Amino acid sequence: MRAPVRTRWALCALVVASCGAAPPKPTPREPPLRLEITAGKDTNQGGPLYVVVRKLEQAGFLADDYDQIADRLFVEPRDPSVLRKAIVRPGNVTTVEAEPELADGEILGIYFMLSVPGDAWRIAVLDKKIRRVNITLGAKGIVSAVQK
Amino acid sequence: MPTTPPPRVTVRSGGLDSLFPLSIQWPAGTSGAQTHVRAFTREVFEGDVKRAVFATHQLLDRLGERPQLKAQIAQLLRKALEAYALGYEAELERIITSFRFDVSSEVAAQRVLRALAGPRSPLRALIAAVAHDAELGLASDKSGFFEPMTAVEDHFGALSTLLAAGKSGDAFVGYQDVLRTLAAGLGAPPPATRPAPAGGGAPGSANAAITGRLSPAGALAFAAVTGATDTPLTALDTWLADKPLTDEVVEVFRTPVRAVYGLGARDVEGALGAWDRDLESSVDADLFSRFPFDRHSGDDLDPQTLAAWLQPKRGRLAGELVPALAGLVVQGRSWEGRARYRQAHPCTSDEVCVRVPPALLATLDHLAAASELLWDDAGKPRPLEIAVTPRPFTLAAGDGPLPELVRLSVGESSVFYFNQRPRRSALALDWTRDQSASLSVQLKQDGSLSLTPPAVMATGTPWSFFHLLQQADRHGSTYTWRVPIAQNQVLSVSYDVSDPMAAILGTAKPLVSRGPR
Repeated sequence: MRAPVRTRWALCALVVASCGAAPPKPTPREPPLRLEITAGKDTNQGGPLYVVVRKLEQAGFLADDYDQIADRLFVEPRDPSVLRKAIVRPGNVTTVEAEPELADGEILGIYFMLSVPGDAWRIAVLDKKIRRVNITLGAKGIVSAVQK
Repeated sequence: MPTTPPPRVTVRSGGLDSLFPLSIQWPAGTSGAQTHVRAFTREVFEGDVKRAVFATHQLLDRLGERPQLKAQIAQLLRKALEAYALGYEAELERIITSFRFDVSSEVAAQRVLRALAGPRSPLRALIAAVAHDAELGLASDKSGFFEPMTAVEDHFGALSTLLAAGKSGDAFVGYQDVLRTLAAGLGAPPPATRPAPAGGGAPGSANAAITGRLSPAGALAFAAVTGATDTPLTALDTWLADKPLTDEVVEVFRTPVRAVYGLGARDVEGALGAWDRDLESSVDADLFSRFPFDRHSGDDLDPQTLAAWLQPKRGRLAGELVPALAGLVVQGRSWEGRARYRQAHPCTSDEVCVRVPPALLATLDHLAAASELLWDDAGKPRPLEIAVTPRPFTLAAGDGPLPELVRLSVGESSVFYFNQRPRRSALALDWTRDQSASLSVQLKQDGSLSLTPPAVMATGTPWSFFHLLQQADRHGSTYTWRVPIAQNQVLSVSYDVSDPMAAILGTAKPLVSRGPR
């Protein structure tokens, strides 16, 4: 005799869950991450720039491609990995808050979309306990970043 | 033992190297040999040379007891005869190749052709003179003494067969028929005054526009270079085909025909130049003097007119202009893959050759380039691919509105820029219908986005994008729009634009932006 349909679906769900294929379970809601960005007048040659906060697998941070991030910034539907984007004005201090809804194994990436990006166009926040990052931008990118 | 001096050839009065006149009357427009070296005539060969050679050999036969001396004298005699044969052959070649046909007009050519085709043709007399001297009858000579002279018969012996009488006259009459036909062609009314052929004549008005400008010789040359087979030129080839004549002699027969076709070829070149001037005027009026080809024009091109000229299956270029020039031009490709028309036959051989005016090739190239830009090979309209690369923008000092995003749009195609690393993007412009093109700036002020972003726009024409370019300042390929984003605050936005329409015209018509309007 065949098992009822509902029973079979329940069995399938059980098998999937036991194999570890289920999506990572979000941790309980965390307080927001606060970024304080101090941009020099010569940052990005005086032109405004975007800062992007996105969540990603830790292994993916170094492989991130500038153009792919730029291309995803204004696409519809919205890229769910992008938690926050904001304009940074050279010569100003900009404060940005992002809700770090990170699953297990995920980290935060902070990217500055400079017109001429050097090596220091991004940083990763690996520790989930970090609540505040003070970043100073120079002419060609991140000069310093203090995580608290 | 005393040596006997070699026998001397007796020289008749007048000398062997004396000249005597050829009885040929050359009409104006022709020229040729008027004298003949007496020594190299058949009469002197048969009367003096042959007799002397035989006499010498008889003397040699008496020197049987002195074989060495006999051999020396025989060798000297042979060398003398070889030198004589060379001189004889050179003299006949000088005479036969002396013929010149030098006319500067079709009227003169017609007159001279009739003289050459007539019963007292000077060309016939020239050939008869050479044929007479070349007919030495050496085939029946059993002595073998005159073997060096056989080259003369080999070279010019066939000429006598042209003048051998047959049932319907000699073979030379066939050549004269060709000249007569050519002369009649020159007397034909020019194509412009002829009634139009039934059905209008393929391939249409372009062909008629060219042939209508041609003189009779021009019409003959045009027919020859565009592949016609029933022409005096092909008739001459047919006549020559079964004649065992050397290249030098064949040249003699080709000379008058080639001269007439040369006159015709120059006439065709003039007609093509005149036709191109008319064509260029039409093309300019219909296409290249209008927007977007001419950025100063206020008259926008409509897709229908473009299709009427350039559609690769039905447009005038493919359906009328190129077929009218079949045989004269062929299409190739430039190193960058663009269509390039060139002369079908470079003028390096002796064939009839028309030098296609470079201006006409340039006109065809422009049309072909525009056609390939706007349609694909299957004849389907191809969207214009416009490559744009943004340039980073800067802000004025102060707390004015903050530009978040610049959007450049044409039709349904958009590119965004927010001061990130510049990257080349492509906008696809559907030129078959009216489009809107805009450059808009999304602003943020006091924490909120502006509802009506400041923008520069152009609408109501397929070429809106190019009108948008016209509202920018242009420096090379960089276009800069100055967008007011607040009172007393302007944002300068620049893009490098590769303008495919401008590339068609190259540097012929520099496209200069009129600046903001």
